[in-house]
Amino acid sequence: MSEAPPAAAEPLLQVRRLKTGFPVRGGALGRSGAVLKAVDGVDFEIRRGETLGLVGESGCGKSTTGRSILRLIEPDEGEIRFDGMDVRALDRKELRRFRRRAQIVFQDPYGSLNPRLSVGAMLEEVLRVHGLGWADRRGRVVELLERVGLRPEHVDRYPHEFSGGQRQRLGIARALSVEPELLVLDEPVSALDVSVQAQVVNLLEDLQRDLGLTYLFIAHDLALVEHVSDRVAVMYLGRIVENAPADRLYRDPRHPYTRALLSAVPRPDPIGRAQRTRIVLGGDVPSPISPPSGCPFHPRCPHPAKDETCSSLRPALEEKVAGHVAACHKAALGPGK
Amino acid sequence: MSGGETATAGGPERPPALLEVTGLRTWFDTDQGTARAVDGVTFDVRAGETVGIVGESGCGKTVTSLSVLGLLPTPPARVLDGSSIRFRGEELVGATARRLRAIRGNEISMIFQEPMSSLNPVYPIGDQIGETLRLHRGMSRREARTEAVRLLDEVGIAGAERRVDEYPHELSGGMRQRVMIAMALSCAPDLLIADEPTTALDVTIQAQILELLAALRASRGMAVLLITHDLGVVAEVCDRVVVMYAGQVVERGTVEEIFADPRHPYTRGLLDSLPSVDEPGRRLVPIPGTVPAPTDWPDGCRFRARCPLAEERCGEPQDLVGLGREDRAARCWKAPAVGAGRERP
Repeated sequence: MSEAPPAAAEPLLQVRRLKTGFPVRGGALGRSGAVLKAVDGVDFEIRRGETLGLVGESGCGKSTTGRSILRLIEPDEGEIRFDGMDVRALDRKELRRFRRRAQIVFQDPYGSLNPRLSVGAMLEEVLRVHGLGWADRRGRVVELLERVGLRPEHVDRYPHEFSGGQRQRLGIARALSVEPELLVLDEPVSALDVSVQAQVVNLLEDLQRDLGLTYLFIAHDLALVEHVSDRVAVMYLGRIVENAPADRLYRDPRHPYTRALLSAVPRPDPIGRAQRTRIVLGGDVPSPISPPSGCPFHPRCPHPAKDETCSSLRPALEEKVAGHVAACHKAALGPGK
Repeated sequence: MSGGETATAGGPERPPALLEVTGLRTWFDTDQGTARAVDGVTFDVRAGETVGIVGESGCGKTVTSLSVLGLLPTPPARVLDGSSIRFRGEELVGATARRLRAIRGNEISMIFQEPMSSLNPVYPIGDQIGETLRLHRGMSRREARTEAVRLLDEVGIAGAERRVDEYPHELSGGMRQRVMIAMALSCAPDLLIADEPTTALDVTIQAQILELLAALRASRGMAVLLITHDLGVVAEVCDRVVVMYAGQVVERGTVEEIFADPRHPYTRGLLDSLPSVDEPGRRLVPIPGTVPAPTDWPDGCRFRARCPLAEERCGEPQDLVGLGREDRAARCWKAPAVGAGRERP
């Protein structure tokens, strides 16, 4: 895509103060009036050709963020700019054009493939919807299959005839069929066995390199996210609590939640396990229907300097080191180790 | 399958075997043919230790654990002649349903991946723990309630006195798994079989549960047989490891041996598939292809079609090859020569 080195590239996607909520059912006549703030003021950007990893535990809002960006779920507030274009202002026709440029790959490839359509029919359908002529379609389908490591003769097979890894390749082929620039990858390999995960991760890396794709990589597997990402953003209760270049985030995390999260990851290193100090957080993630006041992490926060500020004042994302932001009143400023 | 592999002749310091599985074969008759889900599995668990069975989906690890407890419906499952499962020396293959039930409640307990499906949604958790206590330990209603509160407290549930009256849906996933562990502990088992106990949990909650299991093991001297696909979890908690592939044990060893000196190409392949914390940019090395279907295991080495070292000789049936120390073995004729030390960054 662009000739400029990644560091100088302009952001392809900019997200500002994004909020997406869901009405909560329950209460009298099913109208409790409560709102689950799944995404509660999220800011980030992704440069063209780069991968932003979005991590967090279940219910933190990472998938809703991904879907809100493509307006598969309508956000309530905030700004989404894609290549300078205001995504929230698009009408139906413009939205369809936008979705040729920005696609999504889901976790469960089986659940997102039509079992009654052969692979060829499925991909041709996508090409037709997006206005490719009939004559081009068959050739393009075969090209797509080869692109994702499947064989041309797979074109007449049905989803159930494929293994999990192959199905995810199909999901990727479908997303690629319209030649997008941005892929939202929502837990793309978490349903796969580890040996097959590596196959799909390598495919995604090759596609990014060859096609200049930009990725929003949503996952809960922190080691995997470190492997694929240029930058990583950590979410907790609907907000980003830290965002930094991947190596900085993993070597010198500033937010106490990021620290706890990283220390909780089991490492395939039995010899080092005795020396490792693990921060085990108490309790569970609070409900996003009634998040704690102030810093949403304060009830579980193990930071020794935690005080009333933390329970009363919501910390903003603040730059702690150049290019490294964290939302914590107590996180150290300036260069660390 | 001969019984020659029973590990009764252990070294002087090793505690006696609690569970000895020898030549276990559990097959299923299906419309697609006979699925040889578990096909000659041998390992043991000694008192107080944690043994991990690790492998990818379909390798037979869960069927192995269910076979130990006699929890598989027969048919379609059948445990073949020559299979042996001994618990404290007592043969469980062919034991009466009554005897198995007694052992399951009192001496071996099991926890599963999804606690919600093992809990009854319409009874408070205290009643469910209490039922076990009244059934297996003959307690009165009042005694059972007191003991249930004590157990909930032991598994780290704050405010156990109040929580005992709550229903499963009022608890988070991590809490429910704690309740399952409390139930499993209610009869003070010597062996806990934990089948993917943290797979459905978030990483911070997983850390809590793993810490709890380690603490219980230390305080109660309970042995744990941990079934998992997660090599990180294995490395964190296990003493010894059994790697399974296509219904067979392909490698056994201590956790250090398996991770620092894997001898079977499949074990190596699994480790190379993982992103490395030390070298995040390193390209992953996947294992090519997919696991064959259990109705259609290839002859000879079952990993052959995916193996980077495969040769003609691999078409012959492969036995576990001993690698010096007792219990250290790999199902690969090249294993002794593969040499010590995996090149690690």
